[in-house]
Amino acid sequence: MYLTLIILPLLGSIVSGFFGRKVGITGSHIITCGSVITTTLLAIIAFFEVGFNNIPVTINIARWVDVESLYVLWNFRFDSLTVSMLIPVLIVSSLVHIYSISYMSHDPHNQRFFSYLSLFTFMMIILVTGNNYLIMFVGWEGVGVCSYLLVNFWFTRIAANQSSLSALLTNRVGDCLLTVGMFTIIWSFGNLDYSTVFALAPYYNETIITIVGICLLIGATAKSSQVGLHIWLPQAMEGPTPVSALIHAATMVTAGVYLLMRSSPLIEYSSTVLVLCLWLGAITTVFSSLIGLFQQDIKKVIAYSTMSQLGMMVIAIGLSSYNLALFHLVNHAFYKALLFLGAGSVIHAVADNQDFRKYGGLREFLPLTYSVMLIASLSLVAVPFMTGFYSKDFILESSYGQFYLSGTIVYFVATIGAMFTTLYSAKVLYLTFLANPNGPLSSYKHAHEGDIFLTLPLIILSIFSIFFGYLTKDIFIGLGTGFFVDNSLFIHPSHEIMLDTEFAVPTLFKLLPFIFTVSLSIISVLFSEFLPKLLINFKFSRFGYNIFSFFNQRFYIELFYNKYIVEGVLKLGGQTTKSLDKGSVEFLGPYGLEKGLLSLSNSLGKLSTGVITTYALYVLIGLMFYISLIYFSYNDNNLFILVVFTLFALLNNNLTSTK
Amino acid sequence: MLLSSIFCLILSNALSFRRDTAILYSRIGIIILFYCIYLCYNNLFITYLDNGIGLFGGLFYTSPITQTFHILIFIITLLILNLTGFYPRKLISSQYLSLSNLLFTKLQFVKNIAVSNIILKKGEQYTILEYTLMLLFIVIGSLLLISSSDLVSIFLSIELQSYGLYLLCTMYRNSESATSAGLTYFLLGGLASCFILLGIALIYANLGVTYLDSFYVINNLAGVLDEQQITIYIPYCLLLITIGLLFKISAAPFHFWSPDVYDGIPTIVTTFVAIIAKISILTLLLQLVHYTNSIYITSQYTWTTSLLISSLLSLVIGTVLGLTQFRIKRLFAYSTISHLGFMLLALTINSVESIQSFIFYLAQYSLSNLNAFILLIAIGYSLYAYNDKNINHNNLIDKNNSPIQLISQLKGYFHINSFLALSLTITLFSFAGIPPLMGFFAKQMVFSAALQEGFIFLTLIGVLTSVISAVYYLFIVKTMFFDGHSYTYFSSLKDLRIPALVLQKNKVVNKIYFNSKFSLSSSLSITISILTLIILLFMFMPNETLHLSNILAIILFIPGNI
Repeated sequence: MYLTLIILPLLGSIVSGFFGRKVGITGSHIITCGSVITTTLLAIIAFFEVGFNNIPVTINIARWVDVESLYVLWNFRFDSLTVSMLIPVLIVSSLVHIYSISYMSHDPHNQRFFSYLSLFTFMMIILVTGNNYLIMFVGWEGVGVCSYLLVNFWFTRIAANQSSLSALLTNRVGDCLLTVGMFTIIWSFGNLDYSTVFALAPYYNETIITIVGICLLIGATAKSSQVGLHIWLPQAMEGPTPVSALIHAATMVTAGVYLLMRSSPLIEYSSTVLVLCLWLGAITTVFSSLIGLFQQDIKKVIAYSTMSQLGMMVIAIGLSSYNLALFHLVNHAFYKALLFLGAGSVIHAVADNQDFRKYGGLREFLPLTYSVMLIASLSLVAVPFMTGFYSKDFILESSYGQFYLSGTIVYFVATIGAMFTTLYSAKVLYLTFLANPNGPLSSYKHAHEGDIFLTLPLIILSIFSIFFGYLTKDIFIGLGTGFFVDNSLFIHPSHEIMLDTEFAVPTLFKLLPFIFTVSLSIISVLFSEFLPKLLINFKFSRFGYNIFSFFNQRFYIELFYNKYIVEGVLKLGGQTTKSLDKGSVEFLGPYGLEKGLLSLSNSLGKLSTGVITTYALYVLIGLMFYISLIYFSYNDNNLFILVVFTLFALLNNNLTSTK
Repeated sequence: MLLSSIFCLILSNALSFRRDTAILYSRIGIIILFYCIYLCYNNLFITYLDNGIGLFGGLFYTSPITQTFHILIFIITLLILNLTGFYPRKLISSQYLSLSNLLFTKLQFVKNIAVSNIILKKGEQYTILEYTLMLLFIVIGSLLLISSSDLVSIFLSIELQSYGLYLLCTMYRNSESATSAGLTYFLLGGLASCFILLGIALIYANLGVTYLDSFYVINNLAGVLDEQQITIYIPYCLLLITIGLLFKISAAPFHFWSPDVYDGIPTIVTTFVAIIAKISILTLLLQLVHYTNSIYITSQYTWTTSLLISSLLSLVIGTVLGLTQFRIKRLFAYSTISHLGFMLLALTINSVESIQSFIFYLAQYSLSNLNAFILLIAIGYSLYAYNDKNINHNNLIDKNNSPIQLISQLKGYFHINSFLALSLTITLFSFAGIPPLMGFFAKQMVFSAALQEGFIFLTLIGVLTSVISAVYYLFIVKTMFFDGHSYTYFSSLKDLRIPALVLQKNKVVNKIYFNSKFSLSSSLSITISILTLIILLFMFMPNETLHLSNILAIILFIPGNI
């Protein structure tokens, strides 16, 4: 069952990709969707078997690397972390597959698209089921490549090329550091196996663990688009919307968080890494929600919101509450995928326009989409008893409940982030569905709900967005849960803050985020509905204009990167190519070697003149040389070198004179 | 046996007047060599052979190593005689291929001249009666040299071998280049013989011995005796002898004659000159080096260091000079020099492993070099039917005896005869040391032996030069495969039909026509294919050869152990 689970999407991908012409569009739909749905069902069974019954499974397939001290196996493991990762990944993946049937129906390259989607799913499964860092890295790179392929699916558009390249290159930075981390692990632990590394971690020097942890964290930063290496995520919205829903909301971007959760037994022993996580997450949360407030592209807003939620997860990791991070990851996957798919539905309805300033009044046209977007947004802003509430609010509380200074500060920072989240959610909903229609008439004429393939995933996901958190709260973060007893998530006893959070946080701070949420959503709706003049006037004032453009231009980070880092690196690369690779290396290497050898050959060739007496002379010289060698080795080696040089000089003179 | 056969041959040579029976002599020579191989093989089973057995009052000795190399020399000579023992081309007719026809009928050609032209009946190599005789003399010289154990007998056998070689070079009297090359060889070879003689004389003057065993004993006692007067001369004497020998095998810096000579003499003779002399002298050097390695003049220097220097120079010169050659036999000469560098390196290291690699290298190199030259000859024969449009190629000196002289003549040869081209490619790859071929294993063994004894610098040089030398081997390959050729089929040959009568008991039964479809004779093609397959398929059955060389090396080090 477990192997089937792993291999099915790959088979679907191969059939659809290589034999797409044979099986046809419908055939590839049936095959890929069928295989992914089967996988999903298997994963749910695995969830029950492994998770609830606490039976971790390890499957050993083959040897991979077997050189002297390094021994890496192709083996997979299914423990509670893996199966809980598989649930959102596969459910969202299969729903996205179904959704794409309708969404991509007008595209001529359906087979390719579905092949990529299935391949991506396969790589994601490899990532979460691998039993050592190297297998994990295979999946890690695999999803990166698939993300490139999918974002660049419409490869004739230059924007798609740019953004997919940006995604790949930015991830390269993280991958580089991740690889360094893996090398450090090999160097210090001698193996890449999870169990070996984690079993040894408590006995190691904290510095080594910190180095490894920081490397892993940077890898996660790139993949999960934390501040610093986040620029690719909003740009990646150029891809088809189902891709954004699958990759950039639910699965791939959480890979970094998964990596940190998986490495929990390692980074638990380095408080530095934990504090770094905490702050990185907090900054990302507030930073991205601030930017998100000032964007006009519906998908980019959701992308920034994703980033902000990922920041929340990293905060939870920084608080050592890995189960909380996992819970938020799962919940977030559902409602964010719903948000994306809803946005896709909107975009589908209004003829591929993504600028929500040109929406408005779509409630009458798209009632279902409106309701699911509303559900998703409510879940996102953590309205009580929606899915998002159980995890997001708990993260905020926990950060207060750590009772450290940084935890408390992070609590406020993250609360501010949550406020902005509320604001932009309300803004999106308001401008898209409630405000006066602002778009061209033609787009409203054709606005309609999608067919069953488009709406079914929305309905299923909205059910998940409402109930999943409530149903599974006790499984993931309940006080007495036995779900993680297989130690897939390790929380050091001294870092356990669950009880404090539950019982010691003052009620005010527990309610503060909620109060902000409710009040701010009301205020924002009121403002935009009844006092829009005020907002517009503020935008037109100099101060407001500056603020607006500053945030709209994403803190000028892209500008900074392009101007200083990328340009510098490009120049350096150009110089290196010119002076090192094509210059000195080429000159000393192939070109110079060839020229030098040929000229040497020519000048030596001049020695053979065909005159016998000359040859006899050479033989005599050789004889003298050999005999004198003995003398020189008696006395002084330097003399010998001197003689050799003299000989060469004489020869050279001779040659030049004969020329 | 060999001697008596030679006397018979001399006798019959003197008596025969017809020049066209030379081919029969070659065939007789082949038979003689077969018998000699059998004798040598039998000798290997003599008891106490592994300790070495002295012959003729200690002038010569025999041991498994000498016997093995005797066999090697016999085989190579046999294959070379094969070249002159059969006509190089043959006519094929599908009408006349059945077994009963071949056995019971006789074929008579009507137009004899055309046929004899096609099968090259009038080639110069088939008119030289003394060829076989000369070859056998040289072989005797080499055999005696390998197994001589006295300074005097060494000198005599070297001279026997050398004079034979000089004569062989000049044997094609009509060819100007061959005579001049032979003269060069003779004059310079005389110089080298002087050195050898000087060394021998010095040894005799200082130590009073000519017998090699006594010489070795004195050598090994020299460290104990610590008499400056005696020991100081030994390295000089040995150095002089070695320089003479290095000259004979054309190791750098005494290599100058070899490209000129190889290029000047006919290809068939080059084949012999390039291979046989090296085997015998290198085997002699093996013995010399092995038993005198322990003499030190100062703490850093043994006389074998000069061998190492020669090895280094050979490697460098062989590869560097080969880069600018455009005449293929000169190129082969330089390639031989660079390979000599490897052999000298293995020889000088003098450990069990290195001696093993030396023996293996020598054997495999002789065979592949032989193959390369035979291929060259065969390619020359196969181009008979083609007209070369390139004028430069038609005006070459001595074109009858060595038809292929320039690398550019091989242009696009793959499209003319792909099998020969492929065989040459395989052989050249083996020279260059491309992995699955035999040359690779030999080089690898030399390198590993050198690394084991700490000769890192020389190993590095060896690797580098081996890479550089790959350039010119690959250049030939490139020329053969990727360049367009300038050959056109003779139009007169295209519609040539040669009538022939099939006779049965002197009655004409049938008359058939041969069209101009002719191919290389089976002797050539079988030789080439066997040698190429040995090179190519060595990796599937390496054990026999490797064990052989291993056992020989061990016998040299620990006699009486096996």
